[in-house]
Amino acid sequence: MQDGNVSLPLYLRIRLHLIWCEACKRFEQQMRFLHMAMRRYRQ
Amino acid sequence: MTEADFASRCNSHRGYLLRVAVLQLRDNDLAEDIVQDTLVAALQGAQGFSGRSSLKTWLTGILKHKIVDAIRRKTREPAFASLDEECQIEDFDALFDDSGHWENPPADWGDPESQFSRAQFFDIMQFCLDKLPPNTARVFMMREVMELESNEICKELSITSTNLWVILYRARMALRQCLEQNWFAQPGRNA
Repeated sequence: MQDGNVSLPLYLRIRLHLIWCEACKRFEQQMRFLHMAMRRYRQ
Repeated sequence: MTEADFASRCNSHRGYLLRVAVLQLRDNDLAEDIVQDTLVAALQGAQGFSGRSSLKTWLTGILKHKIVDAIRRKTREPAFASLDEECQIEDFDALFDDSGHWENPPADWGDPESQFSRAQFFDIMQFCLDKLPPNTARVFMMREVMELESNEICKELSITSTNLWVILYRARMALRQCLEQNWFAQPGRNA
């Protein structure tokens, strides 16, 4: 799912932010949804 | 299974293969030719189908190589649209306002499986894929349907990894917006 590489400090900052950011969690769920939809599309 | 049965089973996937090829190539005639080549190659190489993966997956694998060859040929033609336009990142932060907060906070799309099981969901998904700009659709399908690695896509299209990520991001944002408007905004669908 992750297409770009990020440094470890940036990765940790993002993960920490995601713990309390509800909108970000929903955005992440939407991206996961799209990925699952495309997997189903090709099946 | 007889040769005729195998041909018939392969042919039953023609519609799907054609949709994938058209999305990638944006050229109906070329897509028809590529799908025809794929089906001919499948019949000639029927012994190579072990049954470990589904027939559709196996055919998609053959189609992938045919499409990559076609894209390689097309990128040498002047008429092939430049990727530059679709690599711009001016709208990269359009999701956020000046203070860095969400412009429109993402909605809860609910359980994916329940959405996928609804009859029209993939019709809307196809509609949204068809609306993507040509190169954006091509790159997105190479990644998500053909499952090509990032470095393979960059090599085939002569783009940088940064450009690739921008294009994939823009594709996802366009699909997200299209699904929001055409699927989730409809009453009773966000469950």
